[in-house]
Amino acid sequence: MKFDKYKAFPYPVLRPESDDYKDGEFQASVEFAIDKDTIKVSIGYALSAEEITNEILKGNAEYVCMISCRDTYFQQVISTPEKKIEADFDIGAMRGEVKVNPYVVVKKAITSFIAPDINPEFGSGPFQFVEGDVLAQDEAQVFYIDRDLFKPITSVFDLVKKDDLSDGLWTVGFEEDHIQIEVSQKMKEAIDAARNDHKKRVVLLNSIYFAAVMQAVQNLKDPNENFEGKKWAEVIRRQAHNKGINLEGHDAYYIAELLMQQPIKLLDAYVFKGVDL
Amino acid sequence: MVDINNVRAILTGAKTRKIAFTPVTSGKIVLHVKEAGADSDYDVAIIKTGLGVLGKGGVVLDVQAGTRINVDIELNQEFFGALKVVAHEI
Repeated sequence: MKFDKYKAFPYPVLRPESDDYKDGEFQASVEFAIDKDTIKVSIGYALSAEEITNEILKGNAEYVCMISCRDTYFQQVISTPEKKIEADFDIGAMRGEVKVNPYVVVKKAITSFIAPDINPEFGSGPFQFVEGDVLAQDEAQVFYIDRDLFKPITSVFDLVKKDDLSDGLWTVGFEEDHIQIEVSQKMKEAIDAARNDHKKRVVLLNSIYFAAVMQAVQNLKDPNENFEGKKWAEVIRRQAHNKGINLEGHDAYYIAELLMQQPIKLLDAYVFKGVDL
Repeated sequence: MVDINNVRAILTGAKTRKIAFTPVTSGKIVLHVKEAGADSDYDVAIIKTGLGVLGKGGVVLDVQAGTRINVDIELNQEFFGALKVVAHEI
């Protein structure tokens, strides 16, 4: 049952863009992570309708998430009475666009359901629900699953030598599939050496790489630029989407901080406070 | 398709529903209902209406933006599931 504001159930359902319930909200927060062999999904539910929560506590209803991927024909239903759940899937189970549809679904018949928040257009109740009826629904969430999307954002950057640059200057090129950070031969050798040291890598992340990510985001925000088909643009756009970041909604520096998972925290821990590794 | 808000299709009998919605714009519309399936929606014929007139394959109504509409309808078949309610400008 896809989310559609023009779709009406024959009974009250707590859902966005509907006043079946005058107050109350149901929201699911979904996060995907990828490691070597596994796709991990973490789901959290927030439900503010006490009467529906009580039915879950009584064992009459449960939180349900339907995860589906057209590219791999994968479909899985994850049910739980708990507000948080994690599940692992094989790395090959999902690829490309993945949809997550969250619900609260009736498990055992509910014979006398009353909630003062239910819109009077439904009558005063009590309401009856049978197994499989939907008590609450959140909008579908779309994610993009690709190994590259779960690597650090800097994985789409290449450090390259540019002969005509002086040692103190560096430039960034956006014409290739990976963003090219261009430095002089001497500077490239110095940076390559620095990348082998964790603390120095943290400094690089907060200087050259931060500025380059910020410029990449600024370019993607520019309506006059077109980076269609470039791998770096796809990775940044989809990583932002998966993290719930709207590129139009914030300044480039702020988006860069979120995409790079607040790199100043690493600077604080490893350089300012000097944590030993 | 014209925008309508807070759509309801409350079961009042095996073949009857109370349809309620709030139009976003004013004017003459035709209201259609469909059986809401998992992937596709299927047309259902309305054979009786308590408001407006049957025509254009649905119920023809004059609506005012922001004014709640309640209309009792009868379908040509028994149906107990979710309905998709759509409105088109005439």
